[in-house]
Amino acid sequence: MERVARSAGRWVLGAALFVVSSVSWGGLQISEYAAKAGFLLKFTQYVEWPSEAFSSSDAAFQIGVFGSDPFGQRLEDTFQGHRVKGRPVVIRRVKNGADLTDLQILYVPAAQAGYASDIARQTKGRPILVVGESPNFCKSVGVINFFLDGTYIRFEISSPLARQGNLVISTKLLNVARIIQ
Amino acid sequence: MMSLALIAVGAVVLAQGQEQAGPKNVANMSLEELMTLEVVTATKSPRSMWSTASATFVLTSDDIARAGVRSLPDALRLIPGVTVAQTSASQWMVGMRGFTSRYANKLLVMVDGASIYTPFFSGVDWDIQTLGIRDIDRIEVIRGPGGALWGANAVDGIINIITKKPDPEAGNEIVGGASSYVAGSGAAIVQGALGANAAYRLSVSGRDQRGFPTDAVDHAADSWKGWQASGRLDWGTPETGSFGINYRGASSDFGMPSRLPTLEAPYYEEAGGHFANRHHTLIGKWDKQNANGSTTHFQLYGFHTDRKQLTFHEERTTVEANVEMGNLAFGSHNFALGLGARTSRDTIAGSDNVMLDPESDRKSILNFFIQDEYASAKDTKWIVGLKLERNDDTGWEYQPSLRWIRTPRREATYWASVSRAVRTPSRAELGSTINLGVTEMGGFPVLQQIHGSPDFQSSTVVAYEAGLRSELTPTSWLDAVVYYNDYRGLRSFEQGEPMLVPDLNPYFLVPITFANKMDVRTYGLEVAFFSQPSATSRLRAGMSWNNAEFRWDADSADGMEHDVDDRPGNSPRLSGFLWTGFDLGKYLKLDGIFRHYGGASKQSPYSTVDVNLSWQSGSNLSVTIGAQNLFLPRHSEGFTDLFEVTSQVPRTFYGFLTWRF
Repeated sequence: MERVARSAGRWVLGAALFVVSSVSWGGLQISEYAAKAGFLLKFTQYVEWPSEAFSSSDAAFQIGVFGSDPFGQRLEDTFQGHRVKGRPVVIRRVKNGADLTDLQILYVPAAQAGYASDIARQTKGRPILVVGESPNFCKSVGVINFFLDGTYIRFEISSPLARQGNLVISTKLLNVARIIQ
Repeated sequence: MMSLALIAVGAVVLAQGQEQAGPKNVANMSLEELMTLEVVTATKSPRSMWSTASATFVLTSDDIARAGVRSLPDALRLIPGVTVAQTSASQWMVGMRGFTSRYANKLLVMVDGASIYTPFFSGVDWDIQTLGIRDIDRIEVIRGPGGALWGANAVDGIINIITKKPDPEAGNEIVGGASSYVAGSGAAIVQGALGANAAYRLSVSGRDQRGFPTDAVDHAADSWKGWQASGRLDWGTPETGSFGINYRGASSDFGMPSRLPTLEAPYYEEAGGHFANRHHTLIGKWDKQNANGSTTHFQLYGFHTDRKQLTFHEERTTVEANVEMGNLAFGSHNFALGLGARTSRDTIAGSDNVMLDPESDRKSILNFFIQDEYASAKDTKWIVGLKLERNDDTGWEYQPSLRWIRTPRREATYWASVSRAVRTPSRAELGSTINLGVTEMGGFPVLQQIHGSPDFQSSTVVAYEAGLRSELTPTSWLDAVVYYNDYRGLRSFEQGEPMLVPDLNPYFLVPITFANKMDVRTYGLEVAFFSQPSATSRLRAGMSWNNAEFRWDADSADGMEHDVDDRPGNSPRLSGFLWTGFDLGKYLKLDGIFRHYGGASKQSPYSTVDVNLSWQSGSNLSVTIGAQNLFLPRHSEGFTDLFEVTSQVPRTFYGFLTWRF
């Protein structure tokens, strides 16, 4: 009987822990791709595209994710209700070989880094903000590259590639980035 | 490593579970706010958990830290579907799906992809494997057969312990602590970069564990001292691929109180002593991602073990080479294939009660696997795999599997599989003499003596599994698996006719021969639940239930019970845990774990609570205190059949300091 009572007591304690755990305190953690989606939205505010980047004055602002998409629904959720440069936003998944020229942002997930040289060939000198998350990405492929500093997301910006693409990057963004000359 | 590419990983669920700021909040944040967000990385595993057709789980180093766990087997307690029982200060039983025993022999356990079980009894000596807990990056577990990809012995499941890569950003670390049963423990980790493309990590750790209590004494003679050193160098670029060399050396000295059979009344004698173990492992690997997305992995490893204990002294040297290629895409087919070879040489010097025949042996294995993942529709995949393995004792063994997975929407996945896996005979099963025990009959001693048999064959399982993973609410997830395992030719103990041995003091000898005359069917349910009720709290629960049915061949003379050896009667039918964690403000983390271990035939059920509190000051110093088995002064967790005298697991209060620089 005593054992039953003790065992029951422990279940009660377990249940109490369960209940207590629903109480909340402050602090903020986030998944990597929710944060990266947030950064992409900021990039649209701190980068200026030349007018030739758009096929017409009322064309949508197009974001492409290359190959398998690590964002899930998060890009759509983040950009929902936002216009970029006064334009509606279209988010597309693009495959290898697809036409990339009408994109304003192309995101290249780490798993797709093997296609880097193909992508560089197609986007070189065009006003496309190519964003990656792989080592050495900024050396020859894209303008912006995410990396992790412990548990914080950081990014590097390639000035030469931005210039080649005619993209103007605000000092506010340059101030928090690692600059690759 | 293929395992990384092919198993899927609960880390994603956890990471999703930890997502506290939604996309909406993110959209309204300033750049500065975004820069200060702490992210939970889900991308370590190349595939999300939603896309694997097997029962998988990953425990991360963050989980291990939160729980305050200080030994590897204690970490395994936090994985749904894994049952762990500690039988003395240095010995554990670890198993899955109803086979939990000191001599559990159907589990494949690996460190960084290199298997660590000993072919002596196809099990793991956990005392030598409790690596520095700080060196563990994550523990990946697959329940159920993995024979189609991994080698023989991946029958009930696979545990792969992945150690940390050098991380120059993370800096160095010194840890020191003690507990009511550990006189002192410590670790030091130094890591850094060597130029632009290389990094190193050096670590040493050690502990001085006191003996555990029994009904008779506060500290049995099972105290345990050990240390470990490891060094790792990683280098490479995307062009050359990444190279790594990893050395680990461990040494421990453990006490093993035992009872050995004798032919004089009371027919056993107390024995014991402290025994030294040495273990060295060297792993070299090369990984490359090719331009077309395919991967190449090459690994060479060797280890040397020198393990003494009361009844034998095992020296073993193993060398293994593997080459694997993955993600070879052809239309909607995606292939992986690999080739491996292993040779293991040993000398096992016996004693009066354990003798090996032959004393020295060398066994080699050659294997080949191929797997095709075929996307038959946008949301449906079929995964067909086959592993062929040749060993010196039973020749060619085949291990096929067929898996199906459907992900109709992002939040839900269904999968099912049929697979066959093989357990090859151990050294002890093929040739050994073991004195099991002595009883009395008509005034004469009766010695029960086990004999290995060169005719011993492989055991097989055909496993049928089905699973479901689903988002229940935006902040809670469920993972459920049912299985039916059909084991054939498991180890039976065939009792022979008693013989009178006309010694000076005559006695009866009952020979018992290992054979494959037992079939077991097990079925069960495994459930894992994750929830993130708020930004700073989390809840995790795991539960497993199983049942077993036995059947012996008509000519079997097995006289053993359902609860001896590695038989399911030795395992709890029901076990589970409930783990809650919360962040109290910015610096404090509090975790409470309630664990329940259902009864096995000799083991009464118990429930217990562990509590851990850690405080992190800025980035340098952290303080952790906690209690294990807070409400249980001491309790038994399991028993062994052979020689070893078990002790009880005590309530333990612990504390440690971590300094990072």
